[in-house]
Amino acid sequence: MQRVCDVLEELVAEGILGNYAIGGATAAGFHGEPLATMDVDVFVFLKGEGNGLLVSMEPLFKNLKEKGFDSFEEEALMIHGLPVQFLTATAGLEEEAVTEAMIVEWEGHRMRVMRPEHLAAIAMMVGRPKDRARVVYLVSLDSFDKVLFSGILARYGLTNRWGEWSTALGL
Amino acid sequence: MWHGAQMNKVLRSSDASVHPVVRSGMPRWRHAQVELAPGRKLEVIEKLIRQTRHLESIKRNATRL
Repeated sequence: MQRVCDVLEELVAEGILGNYAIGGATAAGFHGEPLATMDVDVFVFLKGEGNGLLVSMEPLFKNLKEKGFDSFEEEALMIHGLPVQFLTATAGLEEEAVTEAMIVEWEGHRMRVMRPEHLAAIAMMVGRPKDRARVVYLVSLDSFDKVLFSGILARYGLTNRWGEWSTALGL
Repeated sequence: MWHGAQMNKVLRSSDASVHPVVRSGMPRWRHAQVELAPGRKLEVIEKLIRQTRHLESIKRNATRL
């Protein structure tokens, strides 16, 4: 996993990625208990994005192929034996989550990981049953900043939904 | 999601020096994970991803029989 982070940072340094942040269950697990997941979700900004309606992942996968990573399992690319799913960050909430991600540094490594408040808001937007469970878990973390979360909900029109969810989930 | 004994087993197998402290309202395994250094957290997460995929492959193979 540390080597996956190193590859992601290398992609930023080489200018292949504009920015990235680890999201999904991997990021949620990083803030508290590890959560079962099949792959590592990485939300990315690609360099040169915004010139057309379609965003091409080709330069990214071409670069990764040159690095020796060209084996896919379902939607995930295997990097150092770990399945990594690249997702382009959509405008709005996901874009903010990537831009404001936490930068964690340790022993010469670095990773960018979405904050729990953004993860909870994204889970609310997606709205699957497992996302409801994730919201309950994230909100219960000691590090969860409720003021920051309220601001995110207001910015992305989720305040009313939060009212419904918090009542239904007993939060 | 992993709970209690399963999580402790993962932690014990990766770092014998982890001694979770029970904090009010916070389960042992969650507190232990919060206290781990980033590199150690990622090791635990990696193990869990590998084990989840292994379990999933067992389920798929069983369905084929």
